[in-house]
Amino acid sequence: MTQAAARTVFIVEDAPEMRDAYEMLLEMEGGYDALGSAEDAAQAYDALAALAPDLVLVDVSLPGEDGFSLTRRLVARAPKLRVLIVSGHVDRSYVEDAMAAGARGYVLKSEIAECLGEAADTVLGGALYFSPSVPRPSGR
Amino acid sequence: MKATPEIFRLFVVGADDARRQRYADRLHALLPHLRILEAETLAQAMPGVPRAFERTLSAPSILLDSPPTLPGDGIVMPLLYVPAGPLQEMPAGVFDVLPEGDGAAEWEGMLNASIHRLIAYFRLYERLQKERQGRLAQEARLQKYLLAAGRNAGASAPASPADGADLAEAAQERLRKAAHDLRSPLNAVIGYGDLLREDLEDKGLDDLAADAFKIRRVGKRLLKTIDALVEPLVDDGTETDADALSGHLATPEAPRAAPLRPSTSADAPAAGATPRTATSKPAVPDLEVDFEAEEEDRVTNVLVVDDDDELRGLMARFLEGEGFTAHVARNGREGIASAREIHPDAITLDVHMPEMDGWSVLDALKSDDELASIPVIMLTGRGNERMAARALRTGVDDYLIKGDMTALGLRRAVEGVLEKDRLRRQVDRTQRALVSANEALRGFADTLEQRVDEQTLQLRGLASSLTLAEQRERQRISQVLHDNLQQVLYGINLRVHLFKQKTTKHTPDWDEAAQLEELGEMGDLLQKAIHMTRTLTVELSPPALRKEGLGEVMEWLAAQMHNLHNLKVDVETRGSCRVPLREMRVLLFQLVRELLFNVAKHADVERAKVILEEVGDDLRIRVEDDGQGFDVAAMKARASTRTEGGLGLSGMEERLSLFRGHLDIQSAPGEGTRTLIEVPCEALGGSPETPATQTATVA
Repeated sequence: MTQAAARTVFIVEDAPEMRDAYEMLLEMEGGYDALGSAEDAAQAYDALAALAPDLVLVDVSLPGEDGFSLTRRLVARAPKLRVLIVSGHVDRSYVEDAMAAGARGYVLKSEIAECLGEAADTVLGGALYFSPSVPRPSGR
Repeated sequence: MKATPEIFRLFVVGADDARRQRYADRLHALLPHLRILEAETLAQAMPGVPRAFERTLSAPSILLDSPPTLPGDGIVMPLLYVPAGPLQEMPAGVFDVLPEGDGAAEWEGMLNASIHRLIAYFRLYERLQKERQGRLAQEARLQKYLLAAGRNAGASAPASPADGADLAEAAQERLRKAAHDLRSPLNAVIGYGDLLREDLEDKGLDDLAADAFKIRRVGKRLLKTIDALVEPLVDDGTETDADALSGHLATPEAPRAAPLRPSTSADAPAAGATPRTATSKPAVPDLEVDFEAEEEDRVTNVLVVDDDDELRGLMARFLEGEGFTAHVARNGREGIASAREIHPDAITLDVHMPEMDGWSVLDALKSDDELASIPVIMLTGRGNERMAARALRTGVDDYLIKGDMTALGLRRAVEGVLEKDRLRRQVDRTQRALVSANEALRGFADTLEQRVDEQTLQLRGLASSLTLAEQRERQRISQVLHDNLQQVLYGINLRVHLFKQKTTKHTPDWDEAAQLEELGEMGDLLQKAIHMTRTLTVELSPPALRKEGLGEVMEWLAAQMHNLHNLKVDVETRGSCRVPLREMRVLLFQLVRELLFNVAKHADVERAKVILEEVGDDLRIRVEDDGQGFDVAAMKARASTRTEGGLGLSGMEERLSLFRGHLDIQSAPGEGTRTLIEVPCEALGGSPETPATQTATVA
């Protein structure tokens, strides 16, 4: 995972202004290229059948199928896929659900501006990442 | 939540000084319009009240220590219990419980809401306590009264010191003098009358002699009346035993008191002469205990049953001479027959009679329910005292020895048994009165107990439904905040961050035009956030609720319904329909909103109608639609478990009933829905100048 070439990212987020902001941030912080984006789970699942990004950013609250379920399906199809969950919920149960679904990291929206670059790098480096205020899931 | 003109007091009770101080400070900051008082124990929060009601809290209180086990008086105390640690179980007798908080805004909000509920409850608590105190006071009054009544029945108990003792003394003195002044000339009249009678008899003018005899009789009766008036005072023993067997003399005498009139009658005109009864009867409303009402001037009938013609005639004459009305019977059978016919007040009965002796007559009298209570005086011969003793054991009231018969002796015996009988009947009446008063009291206590229980139950249910409703509303607000407002704020935050990064790193193309464009977009997002908060604020507390007229509130609600749920609501207001009490306004608003919400969601119609009208001073609201209609019971069940927010319909109905208002829903599938809400005028808040009723509004 240490290729010098630009690393790629796919963004699943229903709010367009947030999608753009994540994209810009990742590009500036870590030199990521956005391969594409989707505004709901079904769209993302279909699009990712043909793409192989280094990292997928998934918002928990999506219209219809939620981020956890999407993560579970994506990881089931491609076990090596690295999924970073973006969420507004600080509750531990959310974090545990995310990890159980197969995500490799959990970033709070309130902390995303400062942490997204570091989070992406950590997860791509093979470790788990939790933004500072996230309660660590039990059992890990 | 606005501060109200009324200064409400609130106790913070706890032994831990630091913790109590912390709460007091926090409350003071949170609720500046309340007066926060501190106390170490609950007892200190119950100052200055009479012992009997010592458990009355003088202000709603926040209790920081575990509540004492309170002896149940059935009234839940206005206590908000904030346990230091985790709560094991809900303590009894406490209105509400709040977990120890960290001072976070959310917790403070809960504290605030709890306190307002507590204050609202305190009003009811005060009323319940007042009712209870009224009951206790009435019990005490009745107790006192019954004691007094019991004393009067005993008659020999000392007179209770009356307030107007001096006054009574003076009245007695006047009466004593008047009685004396009357008695002397009256005795002269009687004496001369008797002399006249004797002279006339001697001359064989028996017709005239009978008239002269009447003079004596009437005079004697008059004398008795005077004696009765001054009854307790005449016991001076200045009696002359001149009335010998011959019965010929009528010397002036001061007869011993022998009242035929009831001495305990409270209606006695001579109130001064019987002070203990006239002044010791307290007024007890509702409990009628009528003690006495024997007619004052009624004739006292005495039946003489004797086979001896001479003795019988003599006794009859004695009795007549003493102011009684004598009836005679020559044997037992005749005696019983005549007793049945005239129901005499007393009977004298000769033991030795042929055919049917006195004992048989006595048996017959005592086994007849109608006659059993008539007092009987047995007449026995000299030397038969043993028999006399037997007589007394077998239900005879007194006995006389034939040989000792005098007019005075006979009179005393008759008056004695009459007095005994009167007392016995009075004791019976008193006992009956006691029993029925006791029953009444018990019934009264039961009813009150039951009402308190019902109200407590109702309150508990209400408190929990309020809590549930509040929880639902919180959940809804939380969701609105998270799903909408927070997302926008996160976005703005992110873009500010990016703006900074791009500017510091001198990103290519990040020129003034790009920056201005980005700033414009951020401004738009801010506008969006502001709009969201404004909508939320209005939803939480409709501005129209500040006005007293319910019509405006409903118009606003109609507009909301149209915007949010596409339901066109026609509002018709007949009369001013003012509801000065804000709490009631909010309740009615919530009720109608809930009803309209149900129409929008379930009725499948585009229109609904709200009619406000004044019926007399009461307010009537009708909410009508021509939609699908529904099964009322099923809808209520659904409404109570709804999670969309707002108060459940059943909870609101309950709250309305606390204000003596009521709600009636008529609907059936396919027939539309007609809902009628009625609120009595006193629940609307009367004049707007009564701020006392306007606190504790959780809007």
